[in-house]
Amino acid sequence: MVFGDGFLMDHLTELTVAAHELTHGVTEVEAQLVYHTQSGALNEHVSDVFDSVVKQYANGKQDAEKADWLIGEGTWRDDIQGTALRSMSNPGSAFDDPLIGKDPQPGHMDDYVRTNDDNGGVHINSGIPNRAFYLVATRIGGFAGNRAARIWYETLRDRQLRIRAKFREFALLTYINAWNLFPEGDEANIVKNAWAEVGIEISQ
Amino acid sequence: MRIRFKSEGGIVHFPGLSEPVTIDTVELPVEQANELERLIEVADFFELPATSAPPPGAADYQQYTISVTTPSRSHEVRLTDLIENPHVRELVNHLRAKTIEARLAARRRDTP
Repeated sequence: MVFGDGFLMDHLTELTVAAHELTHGVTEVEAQLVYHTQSGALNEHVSDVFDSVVKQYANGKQDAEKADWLIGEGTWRDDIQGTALRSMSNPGSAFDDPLIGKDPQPGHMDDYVRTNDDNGGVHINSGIPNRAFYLVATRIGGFAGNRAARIWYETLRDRQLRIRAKFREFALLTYINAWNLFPEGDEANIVKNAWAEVGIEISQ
Repeated sequence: MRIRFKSEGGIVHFPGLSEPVTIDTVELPVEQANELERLIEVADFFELPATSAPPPGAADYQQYTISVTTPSRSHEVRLTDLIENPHVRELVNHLRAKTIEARLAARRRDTP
């Protein structure tokens, strides 16, 4: 597991960063999402989901609407302008500093970044599914670990999830798993609408 | 000797740090130029394999692309930050520090 080395960041063993790294281990065992372009961004996204849920659990099973949805909050060195490494609720807002640049994350498929850097943008384009999860969790309400994260975990374990899955495939599987887990409720519709809001249409 | 250093990956993507930085030893003070050349020699840079694959399942690792060109030869190496060789590790740390210094100096120059 790589935690980083303190050149520009401190407190890299903060809870959410640790949970993020450990989740990469889970992803490797359950889904082996290839660490490149969209499947890599999904790999990163899953780590961000579970690190947020762990943080919210540690805050007393915090309601999704009350959580800050920040990854790696407080890890920047004092002279760097930023609140966190990433924001799931508002991708692109976590940092803006003359040295390191502006948070490059998009929150919608229209702004998907095609790049060779960062293994094809795995830490960049994860903003799109991150925002979808944030919408799902806040619209379902309550502690995200109860339902939203369960849907996502079942999707990660789903045999239909290919190692090179793109966002659309993952989205469809979250919808199917939402139906399977909560056949009587609104969850599946909430999932479908959340993905649509970030520019991914689920069609069976 | 010209050294081109690019860093990418890591736990977060820094747009401001993703451009490669080029250092030419003729433009450095003599001590610094000698130090850099020493690090490259001790790391046995020109014999390093061109790429080293990260372990399977690895994520959030930093990747470095280092190219060194002299009048007689040139070589490019792609590394991840899971570097076991202490001499290579020292070279990478030195280049990272110099890169950050160079960017901070450029920022100071550009700031009115």
